[in-house]
Amino acid sequence: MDSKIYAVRTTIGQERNVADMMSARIEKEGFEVYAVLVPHDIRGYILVEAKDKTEIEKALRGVAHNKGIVPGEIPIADIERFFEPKPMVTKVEQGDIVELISGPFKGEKARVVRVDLKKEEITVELFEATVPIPVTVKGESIKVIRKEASESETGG
Amino acid sequence: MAKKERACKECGRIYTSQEVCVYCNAPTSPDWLGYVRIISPEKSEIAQKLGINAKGKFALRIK
Repeated sequence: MDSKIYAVRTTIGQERNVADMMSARIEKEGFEVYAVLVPHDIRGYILVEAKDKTEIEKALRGVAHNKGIVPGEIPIADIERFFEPKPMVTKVEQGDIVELISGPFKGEKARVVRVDLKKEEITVELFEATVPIPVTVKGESIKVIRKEASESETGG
Repeated sequence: MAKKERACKECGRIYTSQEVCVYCNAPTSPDWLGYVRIISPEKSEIAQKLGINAKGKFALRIK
């Protein structure tokens, strides 16, 4: 197939908006851009497939939050890992220190006691609680602060 | 806050609030990851690899 893939830098958090605004321009103006991919786990970048780089440049003209094309074509094999986004829970291990980023315990820090890969849930024990009660939360509602292996650094 | 969009559990099409996909009649889910916008399915290698043969917005992983 005769297409090329390039990465486009965007403002963090605006990846989806850039993709949508670009797509609207492509459909209106008929540029030779074929697909726009917003990977789940890289922030500040989107991947654009087009006939060539010039078509992407044309499609990006005037689109807010776009910070330009990253030089260098990307082989499709390199982006295949984004086709099946891995849920957050796959990156969390028992003993990790996490911060809850949504739900009733938002902002609280906790230690991971169990990871359920199938249900994509994590059971944590909150640090602030007087009695350690396990709380089960969705994988997307936590942010890892410290991995279990690096914990010894805090000793003393 | 923006309303959570939903994706079809069969084809991955993204809808603003639709509970059933208009193309495959399958239920939609608010729990999805990854976003791809297909503009030319016949010319796109990404679309071909993902097995998508229609234009539109798609989710890559639906729970």
